[in-house]
Amino acid sequence: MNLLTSAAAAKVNMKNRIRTTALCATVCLMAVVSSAAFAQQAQRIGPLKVTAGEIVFKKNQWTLSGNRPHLFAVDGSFDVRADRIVVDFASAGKGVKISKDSIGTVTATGSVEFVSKKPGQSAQVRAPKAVYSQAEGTLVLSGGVKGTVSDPSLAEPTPITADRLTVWLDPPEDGPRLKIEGSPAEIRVTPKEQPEQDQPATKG
Amino acid sequence: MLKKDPRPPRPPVDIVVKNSETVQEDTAGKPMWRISAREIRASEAATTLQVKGASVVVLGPGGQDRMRLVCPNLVANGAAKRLEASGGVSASSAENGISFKAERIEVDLPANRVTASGGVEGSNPQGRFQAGTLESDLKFEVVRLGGAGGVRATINPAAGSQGKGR
Repeated sequence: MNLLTSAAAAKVNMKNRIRTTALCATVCLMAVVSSAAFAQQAQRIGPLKVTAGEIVFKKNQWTLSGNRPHLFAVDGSFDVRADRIVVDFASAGKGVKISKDSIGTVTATGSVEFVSKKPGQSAQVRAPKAVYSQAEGTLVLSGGVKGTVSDPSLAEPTPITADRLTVWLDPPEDGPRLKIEGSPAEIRVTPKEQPEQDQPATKG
Repeated sequence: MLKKDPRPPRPPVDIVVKNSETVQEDTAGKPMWRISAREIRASEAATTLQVKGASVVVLGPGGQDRMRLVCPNLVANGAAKRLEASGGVSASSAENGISFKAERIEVDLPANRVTASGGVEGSNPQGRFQAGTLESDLKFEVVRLGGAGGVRATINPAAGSQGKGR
């Protein structure tokens, strides 16, 4: 009986530990990622520059293909390369009304490379697919996400591995900022050591 | 019995009209385009016009304004229902809000096709673009930009007037 209790307690402890570790990692990453790398892509993105081998305009949609299409923010805040990028105007979905010339969604497919840049802080993520949704205010990378986040508060770039990564670009204060899904999803956070504070001089 | 005309055959006559407006019609009498020009030179048969300093309105089946061209040189072939504009051409379609410039633009009514080549630069309601070539239908519903040098564009999402989903 005692043995069983101990085993159960150990299991609970282990669960708590895992949960705590995961929670810490998530919170750390949330703070780093949301404040640094991704959050700068405000909900309304643009203006954007694009290069491609071919662009087709069709019914409020731009389809970029050939020569590894490249889409990037004019302010340099982010950069996307993929085999194909589709920009949909005025199709935010879910009954959301937007101007017919506003970006509703951006869908990048085929070896997507997403790079978010900010002086001293950056993120670099690869995935088979990435979808930006203006209605949801999210960027969803899916199909096997791998990448790193760098930040001055971290000792080294933080690796991320997940099946699916959802980033809320303009999150409300108490709302979610980042969701990492996968089996397993992995994050390794190594905070940078803070310089030691001057100790008060001891008498004697 | 008819007598043979002893005179040599008359050379074809060119007609030159300056500062004029001309409407070319198809065989069914439907107007295809309206050309305002500094100079129009027409062959006797008048199926092909050589035009200098042209401003052209390409008309739709109902006579509506489909697209406009402004160019220094134009060949308007009424029989083939084709326009060939060159020398730095400006084109626009009010219906779709697209406008662009190119060294050369061809309009082929039977093929429902517009092609442009040479330094294509323009804009539509969503942004601006630069390409080597442009191909489109006459309504500019599907526009394909390409060319050996690839395509560059700037997307300018409309500021304001966007609703949030949450």
